Amino acid sequence: MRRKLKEEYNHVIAGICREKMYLNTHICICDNKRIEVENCKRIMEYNDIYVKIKTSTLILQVWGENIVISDYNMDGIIIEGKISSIEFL
Amino acid sequence: MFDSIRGVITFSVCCSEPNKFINVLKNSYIASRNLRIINSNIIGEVYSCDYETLKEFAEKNSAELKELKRKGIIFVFRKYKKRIGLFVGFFLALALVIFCSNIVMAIEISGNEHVTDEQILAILEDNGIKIGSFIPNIDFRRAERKIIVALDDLAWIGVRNTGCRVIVEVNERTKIPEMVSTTRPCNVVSTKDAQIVGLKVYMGMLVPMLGDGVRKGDLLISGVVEGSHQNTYYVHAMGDIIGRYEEKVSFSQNMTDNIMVYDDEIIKKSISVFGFRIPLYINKSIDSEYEYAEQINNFKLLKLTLPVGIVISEYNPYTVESVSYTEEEAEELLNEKVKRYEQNFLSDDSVKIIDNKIQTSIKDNVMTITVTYTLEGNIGETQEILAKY
Repeated sequence: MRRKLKEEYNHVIAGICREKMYLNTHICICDNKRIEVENCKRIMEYNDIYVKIKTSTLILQVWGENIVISDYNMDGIIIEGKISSIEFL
Repeated sequence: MFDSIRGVITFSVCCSEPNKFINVLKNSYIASRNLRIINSNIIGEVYSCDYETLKEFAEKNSAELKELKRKGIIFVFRKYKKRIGLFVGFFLALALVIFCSNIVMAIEISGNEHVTDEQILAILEDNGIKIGSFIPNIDFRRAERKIIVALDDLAWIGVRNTGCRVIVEVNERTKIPEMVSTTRPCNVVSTKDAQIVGLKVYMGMLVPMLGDGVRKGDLLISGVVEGSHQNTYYVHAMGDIIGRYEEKVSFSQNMTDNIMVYDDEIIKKSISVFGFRIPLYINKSIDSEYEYAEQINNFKLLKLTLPVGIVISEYNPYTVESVSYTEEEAEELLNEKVKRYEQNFLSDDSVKIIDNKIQTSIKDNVMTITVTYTLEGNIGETQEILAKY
């Protein structure tokens, strides 16, 4: 019981810290042509119609056509192309 | 523009695990863009400075890296980096542009009528303003003050520069004309001893009659007029009094004289660049005295006169020789002098030569011609009447 409470407490504290230190995943969508994802950890899968990326808090799947990734070395990536759907896992 | 300066290389990587390679790329400090997977090849763009690092990653991950395209000014510079002459030429051209922009190439003077350009240019040169001067060193305000003090005929002067041209604008003083007040009472008096041969009286009372002789200073037309009721009133006397008078002029000529005998003219050319002269001749000194004249022909580009030109210097060497004249020769020279005198002083419409008597004499090796002219002209002069009113 105590363990569960402790885990929940830690989870809440971690969430607050992540929020205060801007370590949450920030996604900026512009039309259906451009998505900027901050705090991206790695690219799990990628091809020209689908990309799956892992961020600090969740996993993102982006479907579309002519998908192109740009990385400007800022712990984030930019996904460009004709985007048809975004899924959060 | 930033990409053009830094240079961007489009690459293609062929590897067995493209996702892994993309993650390696992502986790490195290399900025990559437009990454896409086409037929299991990763195609993307990186900056030229990161390409070497990309090569190392490709080698480490057993991937085959190919360069597809290069874009940017940096590649053009690298291609020509050993062509030192290009860079030296570029900097020399830049230095020349900066130099020419700060050097006086032309001086334009406007607004002057009686004051000549040469006078103004001479004073400007004394103040350091001439073709070839360095503009930042010129004190224009000081030059303006100096020119105004030096030339009394100027009312205002402005000196400024527009690029490499110095523009001088002047306003001359309006000279006060000699004004004869037509309201002030005055007499007309004679300026010469003469016989009156013509009269035109516009205002006043005529004193002598036609044919009378008058002396210098005699009253010709009086401004004091007696009225009908024995009252006196004063007028501004006006009129033309034509008198016949004599004038004596003498000219002399030495029987032995020194004259200049000129040798062949010597012409020397030099190139003038911003005021500096580069001679185009071997310097041979001229032993005798000479007369010097100079002509500068500046080159022109469209309508702009450049400060580069050819200077043509003309030297006329001469020797002074003693010459003896015969009586006939001396008389001929004197007659020429007489003719020149008549052309310069007696060819006016206001004076008519009625007669001339020539007397020639020789004394102490000097021949003298005395010409006695009988002239007809206006002998009247206005003289104010000083009276208490």
